[in-house]
Amino acid sequence: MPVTQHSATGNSNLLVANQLQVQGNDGTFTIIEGVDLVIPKGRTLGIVGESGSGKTTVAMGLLGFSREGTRISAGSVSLNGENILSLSPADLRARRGRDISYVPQDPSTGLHPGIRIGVALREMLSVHTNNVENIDARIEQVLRETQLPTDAEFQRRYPFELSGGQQQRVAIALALVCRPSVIIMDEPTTGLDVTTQARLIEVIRDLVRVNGTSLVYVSHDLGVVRSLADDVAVMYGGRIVEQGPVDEVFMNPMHPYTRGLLEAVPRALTKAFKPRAIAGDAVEPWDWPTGCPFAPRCSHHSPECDVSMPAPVWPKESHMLRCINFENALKQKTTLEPVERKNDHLDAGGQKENVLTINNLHANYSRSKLLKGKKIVDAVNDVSFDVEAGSCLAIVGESGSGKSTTLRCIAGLHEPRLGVMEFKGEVLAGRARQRHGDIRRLVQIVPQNPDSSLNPKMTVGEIIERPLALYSRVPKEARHQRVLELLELVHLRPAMGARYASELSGGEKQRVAIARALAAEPSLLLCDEVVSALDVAVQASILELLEELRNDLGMTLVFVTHDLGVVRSIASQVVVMKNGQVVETGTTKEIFENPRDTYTQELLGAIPHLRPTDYPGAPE
Amino acid sequence: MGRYLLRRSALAIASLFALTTLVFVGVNFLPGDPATAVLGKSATPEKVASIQKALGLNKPIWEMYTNWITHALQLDFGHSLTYGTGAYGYSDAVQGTAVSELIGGSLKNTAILASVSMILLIIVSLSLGVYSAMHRGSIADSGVQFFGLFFLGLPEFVLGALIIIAFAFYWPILPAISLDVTPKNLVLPVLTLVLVMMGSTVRLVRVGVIEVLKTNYVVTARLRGIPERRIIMRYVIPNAIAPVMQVFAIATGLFVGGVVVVEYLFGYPGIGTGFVSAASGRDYPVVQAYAVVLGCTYIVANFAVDLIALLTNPKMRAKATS
Amino acid sequence: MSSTRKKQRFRSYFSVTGWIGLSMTLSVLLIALIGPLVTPQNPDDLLGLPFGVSQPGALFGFDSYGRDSFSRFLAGGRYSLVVAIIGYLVGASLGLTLGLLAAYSRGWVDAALAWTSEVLIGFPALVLMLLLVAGLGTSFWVLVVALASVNVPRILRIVRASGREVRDAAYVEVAEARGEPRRYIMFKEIFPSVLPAFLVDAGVRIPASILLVASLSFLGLGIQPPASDWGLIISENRVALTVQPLAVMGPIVALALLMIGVNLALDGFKGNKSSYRRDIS
Repeated sequence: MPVTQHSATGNSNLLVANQLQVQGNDGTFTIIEGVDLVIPKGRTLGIVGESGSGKTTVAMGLLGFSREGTRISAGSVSLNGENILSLSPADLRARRGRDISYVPQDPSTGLHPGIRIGVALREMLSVHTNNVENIDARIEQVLRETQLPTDAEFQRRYPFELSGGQQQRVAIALALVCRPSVIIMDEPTTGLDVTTQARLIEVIRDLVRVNGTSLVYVSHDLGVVRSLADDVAVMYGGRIVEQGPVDEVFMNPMHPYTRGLLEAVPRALTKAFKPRAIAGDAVEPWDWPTGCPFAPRCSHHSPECDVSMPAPVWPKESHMLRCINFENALKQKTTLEPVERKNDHLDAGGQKENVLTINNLHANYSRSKLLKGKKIVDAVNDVSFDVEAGSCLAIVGESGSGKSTTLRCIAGLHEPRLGVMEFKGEVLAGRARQRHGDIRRLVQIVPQNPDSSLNPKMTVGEIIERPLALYSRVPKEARHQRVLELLELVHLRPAMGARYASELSGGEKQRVAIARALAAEPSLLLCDEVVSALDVAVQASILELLEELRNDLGMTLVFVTHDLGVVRSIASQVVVMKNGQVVETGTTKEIFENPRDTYTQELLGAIPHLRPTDYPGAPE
Repeated sequence: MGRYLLRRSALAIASLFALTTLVFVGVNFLPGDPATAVLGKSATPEKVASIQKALGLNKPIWEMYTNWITHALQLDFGHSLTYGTGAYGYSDAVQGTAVSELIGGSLKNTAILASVSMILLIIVSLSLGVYSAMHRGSIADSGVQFFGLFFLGLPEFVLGALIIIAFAFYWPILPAISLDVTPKNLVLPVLTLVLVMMGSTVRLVRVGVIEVLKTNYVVTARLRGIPERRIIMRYVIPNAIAPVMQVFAIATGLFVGGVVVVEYLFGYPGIGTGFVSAASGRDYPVVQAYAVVLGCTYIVANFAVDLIALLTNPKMRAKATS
Repeated sequence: MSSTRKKQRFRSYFSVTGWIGLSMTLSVLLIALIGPLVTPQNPDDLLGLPFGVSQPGALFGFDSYGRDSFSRFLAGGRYSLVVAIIGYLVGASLGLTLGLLAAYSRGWVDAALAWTSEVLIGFPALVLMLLLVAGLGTSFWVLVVALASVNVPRILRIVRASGREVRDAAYVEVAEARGEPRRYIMFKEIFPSVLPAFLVDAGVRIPASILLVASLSFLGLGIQPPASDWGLIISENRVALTVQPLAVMGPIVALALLMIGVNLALDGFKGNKSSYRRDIS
């Protein structure tokens, strides 16, 4: 039973948060405010939100914990009817791990590197229970439940001796070993490969079902929450803006933000719309407006929105939202376009021309260490593919598949061991410096991480101007004008030219990185996971931009990503890689609708996805 | 733990080799004739020749070097040019006091001064540093931090002189000079060394512990309901050992310089005083020997600390054995 | 950005104690620089009894030879300061260039530079300087070279370490893919990110160099008598610390203020507060 208008403190509810508020110690900023949550026994609540929405703060607050520099400044959290925020520190500590437990976001840093797995599990039991007889049996049981090996050898291992997926299972086992009635999981599958994630989600689903444990699952991934949760709370700007049963909220979202999020998610498996971005950037705790935090980005914005945070309304018994204008918003039908494959203009010229040809590419990382000999790691093994002019080719694969190394070879950042790369009929040298000027100019790269893709000591204008000077395509006097044109091309205001990278949001940084590449007037743009670090609403806007540039400027794109949803919404050709090899190539339609390789099938099957009936529905 | 250990030992040995070479070059290769420099105004051609012969200066450089190093390996650093009845400054007799003999006594005195100070330094900075880290932001923490600022990087002879003025002039309870080794004579030199070093070591220990306290696994342990005491003992301390040991290893370099100055200030009969007077007197064999001994301290301390880090960190242990 | 905002920004670089520290440091440096020009007595003249106490006209009394302690104090700061600053500058220019080279080039160039600097750092600073002075004598340039050889490997290490942090940054790779010349990448892409660490290091290292030179004078292996130098003054008068402490008061207070001032200034140097907030969210 989710939060309803009348169920503030039901007795069957295990965990109830009431008007929870967390502030900075000095009181100058508020991270979360007015958070009401009800988690009944045996149900799973998903909390979704973009980065900075306060979802982790809520998760930790449910255990009566706040990070250093912040404090829980108002509200209550009751566990089995007892307000844990009024407990003594010792009593609160005794509840944590025994009655309510926590699984951290990143298991590689959340587990103590010097404590063996068995010892850590034993510690939990000895700290929290007096029952000493069945410790071994209990540990074996919990390892079995999380599908980990149970033998003594495994229990003697240290966390660093495990894979990422195993580490996360150990973290879950630690949270589970004392049989708590509630588990809080904070993005437990983020950073894992999609197939590993799918297996872990299965484990979590089974555990909850078998043990009847209540679960709070925090994630930015709408697909994961859709597939795991019974109820969902959508957070924005430190408040819950919409809440209700998962079917209700996903199929019939009423808050403009929730609708925007669902419109922005690229769908891999359903025939779908082109993802549409939410304009603007997520709000930071110290920039909260007095009214609705979403108002500045909302297309249904009215003056009353800025007066105060809208009070909760319940259009249905169990469906809560905080929006004044939701009825207006509901009247407006979605205007998204269905995804269409941009093959038309290719065929117009009659013949398909290959801009880039990769033949039998081999590349490796050799690590020579003093007294250790050379160790050769094959990163790319016999890779071949062609890229048609004006198309977008996506290279997909999980970590270690060699997709990024392939791209780095094309960019001239990694010297291949073997193989031939031809660009417009000319053989590409292994290192960018050995390539002649025009080829260097025509092939440009947009790197992965927006946080390190721009030099923090240069202004945006200087960054974009540099390629103009280097390739001397534009006379000195005209460069400033050209920088402004480029900013406009990537939809940034001219004033941005004077800013530094630290003053930009993630999406703006990637726009600048794209503008820098465009300054060289390239014909081939290499994009290395350019949207993977961005929130979904911003990600869609970058995809829109790239699509637009490809159509308007006739550029060819090679796009490396692990996200199949992104592939489906942008690419026309797909190369699937695994362990350094190409397992399948084909058009996007072929790969998604009729995958031949078993690995491709496994990848597609592993995507946690939204349902065809979810808003805004499937196009006909 | 074969390979890592082997590599680390190779590094230490190479450092020692580089150190001795540097010492040798520093004294022999540089312009100016040592023999003339030693004798000063009393130089006569015969005396110069006899010193050159005794020092082996008439042999090729490589032979001189291998000679010196093979002897040095047997702790034979030759004979002093200025000490002993046979020293060149006084007569034409063949040899002065053996360097190893000269060093022996002062080395023991310095070992006493240095080890007492180091132990005290470690105890004081560990307790203050760990306490400060655990009570971050408290008045006591800010007090320790602010107090430390006053000693950070202060030269030993400045603080030492202040301490002498305070405890031997205004409030005369302790001797201003320490010509022999008694507990009472040790108080002020030790106090000077500990205070000077403390400024930085307390801060660095504090930072090292705070770094561990901030880690994700400590936060997660709290969320798992592990008692605070246990978190400190099991989660924080073991992982703070390596960085904290590193603090003291790095401090050794400064500490060695500090010992030299403090000994000289208090007239303490250790290798510092010996080194300075040998350097002033251009007593090359003695200078070389002292420089080697002092340089070794740092290399040995760092080697020892890396070994301890290796033993306390299972990840590194695993890497080392692979 | 308007000039008032710029000014505010500048003011907020330091806390109150930071400003106090900065002014302490600057006044000591000022005394050292202009002191020799304003001595009330000739610092080399014998004017009183050895270790004679304070009297009108001789504020700090007399030193071991009966010279005016106050005048010797005023005259005694400049030499160490000049040696230290030149020694630092020589060391810094070499250390900076080599450090950038090591950070950018990787491979054996980096390994060789890193290795050599580690070995040299293994030598305690004072011991290295004493060794060089013992071999080469105590002239001005020997001291400069000795100090530079202490500073080069240490500055190299700091520049290399912070340079390596940005060496693999995506923007450096993009510059390489663009085909930028090495020089551009080293000095335009990497150097600006190294600069803050380099400057903070300079803030500690310049005063530390002054103190190192003063320590050497104190040990009798820096500037030679009868010249006047703070370290030497303390050394010459240390036997009479319990009789005429005023003879060493000037140099002691000046050197202590210099270092305490630097510490307060660095401690009061504020980083960007917004980064702290970003940590929390």
